[in-house]
Amino acid sequence: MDAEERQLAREIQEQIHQEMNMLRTDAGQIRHLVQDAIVKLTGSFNGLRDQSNDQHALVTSLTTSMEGGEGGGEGEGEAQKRINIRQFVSETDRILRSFVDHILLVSRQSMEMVHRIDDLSSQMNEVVSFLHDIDAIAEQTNVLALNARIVSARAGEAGKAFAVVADQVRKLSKDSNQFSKKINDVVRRSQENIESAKEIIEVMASKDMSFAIESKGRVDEMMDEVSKIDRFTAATLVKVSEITDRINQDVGTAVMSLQFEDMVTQLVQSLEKHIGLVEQFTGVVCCGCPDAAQGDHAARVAAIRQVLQEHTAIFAQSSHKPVDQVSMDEGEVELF
Amino acid sequence: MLVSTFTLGDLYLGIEILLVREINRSMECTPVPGSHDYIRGMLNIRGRVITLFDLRRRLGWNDAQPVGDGSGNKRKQYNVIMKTRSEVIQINREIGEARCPWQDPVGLVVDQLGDVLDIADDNIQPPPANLRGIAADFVHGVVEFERDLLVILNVASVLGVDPEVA
Repeated sequence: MDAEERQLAREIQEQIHQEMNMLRTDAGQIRHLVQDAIVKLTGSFNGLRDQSNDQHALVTSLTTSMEGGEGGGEGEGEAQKRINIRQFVSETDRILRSFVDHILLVSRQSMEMVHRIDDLSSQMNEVVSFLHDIDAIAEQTNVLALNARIVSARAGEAGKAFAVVADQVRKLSKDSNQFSKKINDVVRRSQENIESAKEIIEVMASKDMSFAIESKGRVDEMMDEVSKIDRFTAATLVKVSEITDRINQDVGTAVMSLQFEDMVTQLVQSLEKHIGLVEQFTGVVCCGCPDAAQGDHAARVAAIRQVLQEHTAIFAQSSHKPVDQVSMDEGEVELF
Repeated sequence: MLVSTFTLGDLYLGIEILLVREINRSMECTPVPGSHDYIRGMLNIRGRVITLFDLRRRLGWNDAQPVGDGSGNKRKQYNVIMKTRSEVIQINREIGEARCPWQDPVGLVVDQLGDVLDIADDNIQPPPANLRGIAADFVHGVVEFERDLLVILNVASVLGVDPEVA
């Protein structure tokens, strides 16, 4: 082997060494890049999973509170303390129904009261007619007394005592007349009061009923609307809960997929190791073989063959791949 | 002098009680055709036929009917039935001869009944020339009270009977 060949071999070895160094640097860079990216991705996916878990918890608590005590379990006591919309609607309906019942009762009683007042009014009229009879009697008594006085006047002195009696009777008739007038006044005032009371009660009896029934109808409609909205919200929450579950699964899958970092690292390490081996092999082949430098052509060939055989064995030993998987879906990986 | 009092509208009237026979509630009477308008009609009381004088018309008041009490009913009126001359003379000849010239049973229609008053003769004043549209002839005298004026009727003049003729 002459000096020119050795020089050529050294240059080739130098070139290969440079290329191998570049390969090594690239492999290292790949490893660092992948490691950095994996750390960040893992962090962000873990954050995403935590937030998704929080969201899931919130939605679950909302749904249980909407379903009330039916959810059962440990949340029952808490759910009973809070009044949910369904309970609110039924409670409002109950209260309203009792209100309307009360108003209808009052209305019926008012009508009854109107009848009673009519009775009272006609009885008052009877009292007035009796008072007229009393007036007539008083007036007749007055006329009678006056005539008695006239008769007593004819008797002169002898009729004096009779005249006193006649005057007393007249006085009685006048008193009776005055009393009857007073009673008449009171009865008239009572009748006026009774009339105005009757008017008020009639208004009460007629107006309240229709108003109460109308209001009940309106509130029933509104309650129906509220129930519909409540049911829609509950259904939506169930859907949101399902979506959150799916997001959780997807995030889990993503985190699991991030395990490829290990494989990539091992692959890169294996790559570096092979680069070293190839470099060593080329070094020995080109100029590291002392026996081949002095010997003739046949001896050199034999020396190189021997080196090739040695390295073939080394390559065969290290050709076991650290990672056999082609995709992440293969194999069982226990992550959590 | 004992005086039985009445009202006619706002007017406070008195008639000497000795001349009065009795007082009744006004009742339906039989009109007398062709008589003066102040003759209300004839009335039969316990078999005696009495000529009723409408005092309002006799005094020349146009509103012959008394004002109602507002309820639409005609206000009640009363008949003051007078004694006849012979009846009065039986009791008191002097008064009968002086103030009761009428022989037939007659009555006056008044509005309301009043009291029986004992009035001293000194308190009776001669009638003013013309009192509330009543001709002075119809008035025997007037008595002043605190608030009112009692007009004591000259029944003979009211009935249109001249005492001298009788």
